[in-house]
Amino acid sequence: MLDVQGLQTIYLAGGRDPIPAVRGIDLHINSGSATALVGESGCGKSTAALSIMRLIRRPLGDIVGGSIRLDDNELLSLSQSAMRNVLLNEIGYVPQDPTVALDPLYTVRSQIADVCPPASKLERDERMVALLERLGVIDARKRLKSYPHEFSGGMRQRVAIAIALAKNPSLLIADEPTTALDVTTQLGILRLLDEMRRERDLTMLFVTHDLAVARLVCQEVAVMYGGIVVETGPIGTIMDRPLHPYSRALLDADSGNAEPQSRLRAIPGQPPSLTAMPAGCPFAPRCPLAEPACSDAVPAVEVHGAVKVRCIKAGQS
Amino acid sequence: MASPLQADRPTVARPASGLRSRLANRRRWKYPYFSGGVLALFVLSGLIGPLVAPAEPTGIDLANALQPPIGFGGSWSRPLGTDELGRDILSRLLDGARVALIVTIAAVVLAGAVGLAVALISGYRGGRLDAFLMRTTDASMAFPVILLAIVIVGIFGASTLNVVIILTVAGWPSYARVLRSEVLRTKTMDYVTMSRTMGGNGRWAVRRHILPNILPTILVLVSLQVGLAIIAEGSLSFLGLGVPPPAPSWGRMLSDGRKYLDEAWWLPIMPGIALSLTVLASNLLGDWLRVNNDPTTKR
Amino acid sequence: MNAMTTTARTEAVLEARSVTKVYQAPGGGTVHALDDVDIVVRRGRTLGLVGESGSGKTTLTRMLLALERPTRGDVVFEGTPLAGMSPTELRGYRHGVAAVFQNPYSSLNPRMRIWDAITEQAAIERSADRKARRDRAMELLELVGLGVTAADRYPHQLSGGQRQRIAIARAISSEPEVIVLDEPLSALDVSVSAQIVNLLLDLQDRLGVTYVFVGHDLRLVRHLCHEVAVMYRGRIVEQGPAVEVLDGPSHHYTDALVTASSLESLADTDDADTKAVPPDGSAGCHYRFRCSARDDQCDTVTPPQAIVDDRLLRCHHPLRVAGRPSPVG
Repeated sequence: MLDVQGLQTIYLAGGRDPIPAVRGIDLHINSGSATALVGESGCGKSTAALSIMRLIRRPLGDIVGGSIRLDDNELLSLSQSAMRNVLLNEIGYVPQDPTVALDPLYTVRSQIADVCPPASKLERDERMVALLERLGVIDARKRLKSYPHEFSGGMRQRVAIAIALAKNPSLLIADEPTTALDVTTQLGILRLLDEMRRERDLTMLFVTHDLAVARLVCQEVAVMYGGIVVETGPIGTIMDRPLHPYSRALLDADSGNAEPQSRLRAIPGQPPSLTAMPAGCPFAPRCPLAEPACSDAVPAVEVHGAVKVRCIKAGQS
Repeated sequence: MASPLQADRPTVARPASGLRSRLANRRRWKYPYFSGGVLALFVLSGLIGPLVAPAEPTGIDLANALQPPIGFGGSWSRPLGTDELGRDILSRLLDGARVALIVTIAAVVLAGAVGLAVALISGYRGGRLDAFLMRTTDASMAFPVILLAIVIVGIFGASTLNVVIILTVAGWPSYARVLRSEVLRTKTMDYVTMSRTMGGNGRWAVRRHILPNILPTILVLVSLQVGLAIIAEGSLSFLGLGVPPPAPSWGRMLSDGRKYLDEAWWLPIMPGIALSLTVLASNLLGDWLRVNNDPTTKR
Repeated sequence: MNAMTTTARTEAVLEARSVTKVYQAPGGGTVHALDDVDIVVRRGRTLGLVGESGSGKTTLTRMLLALERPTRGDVVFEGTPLAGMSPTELRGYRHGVAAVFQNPYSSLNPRMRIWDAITEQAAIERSADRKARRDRAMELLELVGLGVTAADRYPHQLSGGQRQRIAIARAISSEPEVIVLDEPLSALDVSVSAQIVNLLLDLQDRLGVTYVFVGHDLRLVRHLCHEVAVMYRGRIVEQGPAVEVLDGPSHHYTDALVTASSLESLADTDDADTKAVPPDGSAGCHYRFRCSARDDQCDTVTPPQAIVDDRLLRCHHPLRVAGRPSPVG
């Protein structure tokens, strides 16, 4: 179970004003279920994921508010060494690009063994082979001795997942795990993540920019924009009937349903820069429904059934 | 719970301590006062030092040998004291700056030019020429500088020109090595490929794309090599392979003064300070130039 | 009337004729990056190139941009083969075929101002002075929907979407016939990518420019392209009208791609990672180890390029084209 309340993270840039990147987000993920954190680059989704692992530290930045509870631990009040233990035992992380996430100088065996719970060498090898085989790595016993460059992109991602899972974590954070892969490889990886979540009762946070991908592996979604969660709830509900104008615009901008050669319903303008965040709703400058009140303050959370949305015009069109 | 959205002005962000914020702000110094000042002084001494010196740099005055600097019992006529032969240290430092300046400019300009040319040809052309040039570079790097110096000085005798030749031959391979890898990195950037699709040739790519983008590295290398060259000249003089006496050189002043460290500390300390300040200033100036030449660090 | 005869009316502007590209592998041996590839790009239309990594689509774009020469075969621009071009003709080619690359961050020199970058071709050719180039840059900036204030900026001061507009402005600066778009949208966010799609469509309407669009997002390819060529391991396995091919694939590989990109369910699909790969340069269908219809013929005989319905196809056992009866006569 992961419960994040009011998480705020800033970046520090030598002497200048701190830059707010995550401006108070709430997330609740039950054990055995998956939530997607969806948004465009610069919306704060990766910063949020790194903050949960407390990897944003001075002098780069700092977590300046909120609480992060993983099962029974309040992560923000842990000492550095206690947090290291949590990272070593409780949290698995699957990176976006396995090409740079694996160290080219070490064999797959030694990279997985680094994070394995203590056991005899023989037993550990057996566990690694079993895990890699489960993840679809053919000839796993032989491939333990291979180096990362000897694997294809998809296989490398399987190795990265093995590293994340070898410690038997309770929380798995996957940051765009299939963005760097071919479409034909992508489905296999997504299927594995889904199966692992069920088998191991994992709490999964899935960071992505692609709602369609998120729908395949997640039950819930939190849509982020300008450092806040603008809409959150069951992913099917939100994709079928988005309440926030940004969620709707994202779905509308997709070319999948449009007539070929027709103009897409693009969102005008650019996402806001972290250093010049609008005072009120961050989406107001691009929003077709915006009115002056939108720029006064960040809208409060409104509850519409299972969906929570930060918009004063939620559901209107 | 307070609204989490008031995080725009976090309360916990403490201002960094004075020195740390000054260091952090170093990148935004508008002008490099310290390093520019020291280097200007260095160049000026090299050019007109002998004219303003209080005494003849080679003038021996045994009656006034080992006079301390002012503040330690010395007199204004010999502000930094005198050496074991009674020669005025300040005058010798000023005159030595000339030697250091010649050696530095030669080492930087000649070695840099050769190294850059090799790097560009080798990195951009690639193929067998690259292999040949790089093996040549390796061979030059592997060849001991001291041995080279002994051979050259043994055949042609000690002279400033020979110091310059030695330092150029010893210096160019490190430029070539580092800059070649920079050329290789820049060459694969999409904007270089793009210029080829527009009909740009190798010369165009080098002039408009590669050189401007490896300039920061060149500046850093040059600033480091200035320091190394001054020190190398000192080492050569120390071994008697440098600028022939009696012309003063900082390196030989340092090595000669070493013997007097106990009784007359100013003999080695004064040229040591001059040398350190110059090297430090050149490194700082290089850093400043690199940062201020980069459009991505401008606000 | 079938689509083949319709498209035949529009003139071919850029063609690849039996292009083969063989690289020497570092450890000895060879790699057939392209194996007998034919494509025809018709004026004013968009040809999509799709396929996974290693399919040869990047190598093919390098041939089309004359960055490399084919081992066999030739690239033909407006009837003239690239191999026999004089320097003047080659210069015409450089004018006629422009490019936009995938990564808007590495395709602009960080030390060049925007106006200078946009008009680089004129600077290379010394065909206009500084003032004329600047004026032209202003025009182009307006054309791609950016204000003239961008002219004096450096690339790092712009966002990814704005940079991609700059890259497009640079591509149209020489008034080219063809623009090769190498995954121009994949580095962009959804909301920004839709803007660029619209810009590309607008420019095609206004300037009549032809596109070769390399992409991995089949939904976007279906939206933007008139024709599509599906590549697998150096060969074009299926080529035809984009909507028809992607809605009713004939080749098993196209089918696998379409299923995988529809993202409808996690159901078991053809998973490239777990399948063997045929040795380089060997006969037979390259796709056979991943194909459900494989038989002895697929192992030994390279499928010839055949016209089935209105498509070019390399398959011994094509899937039936859904909802389309075979043309009679």
